[in-house]
Amino acid sequence: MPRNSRRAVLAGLALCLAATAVACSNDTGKKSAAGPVEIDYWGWTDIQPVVDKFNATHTDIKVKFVKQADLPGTATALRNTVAAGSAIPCLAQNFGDVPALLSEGLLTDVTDYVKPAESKFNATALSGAKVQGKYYGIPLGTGPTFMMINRAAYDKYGVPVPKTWDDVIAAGKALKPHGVQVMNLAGEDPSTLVNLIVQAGGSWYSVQNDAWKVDFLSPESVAAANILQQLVDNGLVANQTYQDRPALIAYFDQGKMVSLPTSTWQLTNYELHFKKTIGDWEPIDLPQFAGATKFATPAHGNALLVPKGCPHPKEASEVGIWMNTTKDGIDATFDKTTGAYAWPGAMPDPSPWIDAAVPRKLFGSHRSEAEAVINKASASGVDNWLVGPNYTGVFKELQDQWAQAVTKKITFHQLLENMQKFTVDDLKAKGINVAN
Amino acid sequence: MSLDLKPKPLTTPPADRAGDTRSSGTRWRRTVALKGASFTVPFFAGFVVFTVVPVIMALSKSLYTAKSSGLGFGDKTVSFSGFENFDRALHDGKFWGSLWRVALFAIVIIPLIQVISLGLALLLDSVRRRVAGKLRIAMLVPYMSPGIVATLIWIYLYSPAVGPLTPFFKLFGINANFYSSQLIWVSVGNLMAWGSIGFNMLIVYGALQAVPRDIFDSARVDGASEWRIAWSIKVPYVRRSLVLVSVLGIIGTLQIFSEPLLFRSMTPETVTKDFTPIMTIYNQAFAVGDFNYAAALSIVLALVVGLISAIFYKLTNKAPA
Repeated sequence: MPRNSRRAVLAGLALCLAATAVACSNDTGKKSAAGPVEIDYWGWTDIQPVVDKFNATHTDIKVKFVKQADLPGTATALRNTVAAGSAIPCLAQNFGDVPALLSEGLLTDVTDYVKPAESKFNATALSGAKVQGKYYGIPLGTGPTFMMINRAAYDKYGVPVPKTWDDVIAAGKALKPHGVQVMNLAGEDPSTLVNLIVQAGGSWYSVQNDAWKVDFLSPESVAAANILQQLVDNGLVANQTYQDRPALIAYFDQGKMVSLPTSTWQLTNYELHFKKTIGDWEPIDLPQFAGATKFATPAHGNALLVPKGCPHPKEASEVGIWMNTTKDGIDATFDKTTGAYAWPGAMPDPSPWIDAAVPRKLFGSHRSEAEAVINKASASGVDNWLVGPNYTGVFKELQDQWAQAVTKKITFHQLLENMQKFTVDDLKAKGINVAN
Repeated sequence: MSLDLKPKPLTTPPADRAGDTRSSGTRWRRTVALKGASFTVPFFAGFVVFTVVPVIMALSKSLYTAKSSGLGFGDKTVSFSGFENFDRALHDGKFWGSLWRVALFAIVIIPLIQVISLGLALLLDSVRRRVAGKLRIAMLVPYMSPGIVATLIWIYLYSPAVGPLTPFFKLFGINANFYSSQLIWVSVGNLMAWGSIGFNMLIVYGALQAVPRDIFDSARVDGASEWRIAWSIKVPYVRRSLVLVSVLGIIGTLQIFSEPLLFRSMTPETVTKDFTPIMTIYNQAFAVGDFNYAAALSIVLALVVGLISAIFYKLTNKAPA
């Protein structure tokens, strides 16, 4: 009996080891003797129809979509698999800024394959995938930024439609006595600050002679901080979190918060969930800085990632470029529930997909204005925004500082000063050259 | 197949030679001991793989530092840095601030949970067994739900926008925002108490069941009230159990992570990324990307938790007089 048990245990162990070996040797990106190159795509957004379309129209490359749980899950899984050095996917949905991910050692250089295709992309989209002139992913661009306002509420209280950020502050002051807040600054989301700076053409990082120059107190940053400070100091904004979606939507739908900087991808969500205010909203041009000479919208884009260790970067780039710059690729993203396509942020001319991106009911009688607003926003994108190699940690600190600033525990100017010190100290601690 | 646990000699000992019998008896005992010990193999295998090995890896990582160079895009150079990470940890204001914050919380919440658990256990002990059985299960239900699920449930109950608690308190004229910095620890504490009281109560109740019943009878004969019996007989008897659940409470509370992390997603204005020690460590490892420093912080935290638990245990775990 004991001998039998021992045999059974040994057999079991052998089986486990064999299974593990099989699992470990399941390398992706493999190429059988005559068959097509296989590319694994990791992402949490379901792109199976796009993959199917690609596979149906290509014979030399076969893409396999590997569904991940969510953004943090994808990030952790990719970090682990790159560290392990096996079963590395050749494409991964974006979960961070390219320079920060590159400094983590997660990305591979695909300049040789993306550079020849540059002309297929919207020029503003390119910088989001580049570090020091080299590409580490496929440019994705970004959605056009504009504003939607609850026009019915604006009209009810006789407040003019804002054209500048100063107008937004003035509107806030006029609406406040009626218990209405002009904007929402979620405590966890400093993107309003970042977007204002990008819109102003600023950046916190720049490179000078092989060293980082960190400038959180640039004129663009200070101008953005001043606008936010006035909104907060005068009590003109709400602080509803984006994490509690039902609460957020219910709040927006009460007519108590009346202006939202937004983009095309968010519209269907409002369309599906607004009950009381559906049809009251109007798309308008993003407010500008007073005295700005040129109309601008923030357009800091991102990249579809090509992870380090991908055995077929050439084919991966080909897939990524097809997905983001061809009509077939964009058309395959059609969502039957919402009737919209994934926004073609990398396409030089996104106009064929604009109409589908605008919901039927949300804007009521103002729907016809949407196309011009979106086209203008799309054509006026600015992206001088550069992030440094430590931006993942810097962003977490920024979130904490932002939360303090929107709740008046510190000023936005103090936020910028604190971030300047934190970022410079962090870069130095990591042994990275700093020019400050 | 049935497990044959009866010890069996490997060979049949010859009965006529006394010395041989003794040696085979020793061998037989050793075999039995080994067989018994083999039942612990699954535990020790897990313990070694998931505890000992990571601790050794963390110790070794904490002695190294990874440095970038230039613009920070090239490969990092890992070099031996001795106790540099520990020195940095000892001077890390955010880490010690978070530890202090959680320690203050623990000082309030752990005794509170023990008192309530003890009270419930005493109540259960005083009712009839059949009733006690039903109540016991009801009280254990919160403990059965996974921590993350429990936190999500409470987060929505607390939500000022969609949760039912805010309007409920408004009925009494109380304007309660459970996400505010004044109430956040109350909110987390209530959640922890909700989740752990059932388990603690069960341990204490188990100890109460072991108290010889005739002591109560003689106490009653001597004219002791039920209160007096509870305070002077039952509580001293369950003291060791209370110490045990308190030590578990200290260890768990100082390492609190998932609850504040989920609360952070709702109320980042109050719960910062360095709110608790483990959150600081998590941020260092997975946002800043400094595994070496995170490893050093983990070891410092383990030492602090170990030390506090040991002191508490030493001070409180005395046999009842």
